[in-house]
Amino acid sequence: MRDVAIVAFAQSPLVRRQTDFDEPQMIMPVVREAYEQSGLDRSQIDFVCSGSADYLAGQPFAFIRGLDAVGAWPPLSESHVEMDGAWALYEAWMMLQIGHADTALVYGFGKASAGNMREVLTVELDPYYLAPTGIDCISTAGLQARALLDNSDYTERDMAEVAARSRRSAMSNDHAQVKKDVTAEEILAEPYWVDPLRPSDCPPITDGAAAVVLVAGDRARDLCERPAWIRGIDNRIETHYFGTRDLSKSPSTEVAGKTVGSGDGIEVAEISSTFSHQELILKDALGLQDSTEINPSGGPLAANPLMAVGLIRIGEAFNQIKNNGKQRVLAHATSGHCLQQNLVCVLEGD
Amino acid sequence: MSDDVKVLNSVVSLDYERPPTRAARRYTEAVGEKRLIAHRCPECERLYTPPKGYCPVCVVLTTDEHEIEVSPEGVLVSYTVTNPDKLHQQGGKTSARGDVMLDGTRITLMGELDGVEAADVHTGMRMRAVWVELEDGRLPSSGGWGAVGIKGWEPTGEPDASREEVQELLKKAGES
Repeated sequence: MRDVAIVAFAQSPLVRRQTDFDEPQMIMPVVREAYEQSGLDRSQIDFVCSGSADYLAGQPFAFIRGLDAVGAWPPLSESHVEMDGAWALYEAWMMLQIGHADTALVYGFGKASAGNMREVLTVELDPYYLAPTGIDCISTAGLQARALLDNSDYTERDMAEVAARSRRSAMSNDHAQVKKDVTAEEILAEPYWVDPLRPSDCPPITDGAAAVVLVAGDRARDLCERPAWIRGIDNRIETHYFGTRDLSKSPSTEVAGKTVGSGDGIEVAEISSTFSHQELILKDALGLQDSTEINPSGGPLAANPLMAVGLIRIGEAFNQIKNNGKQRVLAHATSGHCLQQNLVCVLEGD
Repeated sequence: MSDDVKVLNSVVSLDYERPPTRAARRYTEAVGEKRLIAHRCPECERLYTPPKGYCPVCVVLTTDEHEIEVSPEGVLVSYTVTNPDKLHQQGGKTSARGDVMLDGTRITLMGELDGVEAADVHTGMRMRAVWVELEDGRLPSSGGWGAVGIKGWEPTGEPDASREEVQELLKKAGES
């Protein structure tokens, strides 16, 4: 295995609706900032990989426009995944592993504000049995939360504690969208939205973009004072039929976590707990210790730019090593409804 | 199909609302005043109309400060005549489309050629934009093909550009 490190991370403002800019205008400053941090210019980048979903933009081949933000002239080596940018990072990491590239730019972006996410995300369900039922992403999360409450000792108060802590943590994150000094009691006083979920158990709708630069080998130390080495990265998927899954658990996260050593000495974990109850499921699946700080950035409950939110978890984990002197951190990204697919990544400092 | 077979129709329809960018709003306002605006890239000086708000070649953002007005007139540098067939009915008429290079730029805009018989179309003709009328300050949703806000091109009646002048213009368009 080659040593591969993250040397730069940038993110756009994460906002409810980005009106003045389209996707390339949203991505371009982020990519530029990532390049500046890394000290590399685009002629020194061997491979570019992006993550986005045309269903968010509502335009076929919308992902192609993302290339306007990185410059496709002179011709570049490029790829795209119709997934969160975290999976684009996985592809780029593999390109570096097999030696086809020594440097890579990864970006993810989404303007969820353009469509109605409760309808759009239904279309990503199995098209024969589930999508025709019209069940939406908040309702599937509600099914999962109920399954957790009924099959574990967790309570709605545990969920509210997660929701409150996430919004309080976000107060120190300049990029976060929903930041509030709120208590679990205040959240428990909210009426149910989709029982057992209250509004504060659910994420905001967010427009945003993020970019990461990967570098192989010792060169990473020349470009970044404290690079974050990718010591393990794995992703696993479960069936798309809810009826055949125990929604109160996340076996795919557990397998991916074990593969990368998630239960061992993690100081900070940035996880894609899109709904409050998912943090409880993920913490157990990953085997995180109580000493592990979870989502100091506020996580997806504070800002949820679809297709960038997982990559931002990896970027925030990198910042913990680069800026906060942490040594071993974890990032998690998810895809699909009810934590169907999960990617876990462990980063270490020198 | 047997009567025993039941069919489940599941039609999915999604609505999207994409607010125009600032650059697009300013372009639309200008079209309402029968003016054409472009953004000039500060690095390579390429012009973009309608403005994108960035130059995808240099990868830099462009803003109001890079906005310039360009002439809605130019020279026909290429054209094609379409005769009605199964693929190109065009209302059953022979029609022409052309590429007009705007004066003082190397931007070509393509569109229907209006006010001239197809048989009389030739490169070098001087053309001007036929504007789309705004409806309540907005571009009508069925704008058709061609540049946004421009229905097509009609001859100005001025003398043609010479063959050498057209060749110079085409060479300019190919420069990167």
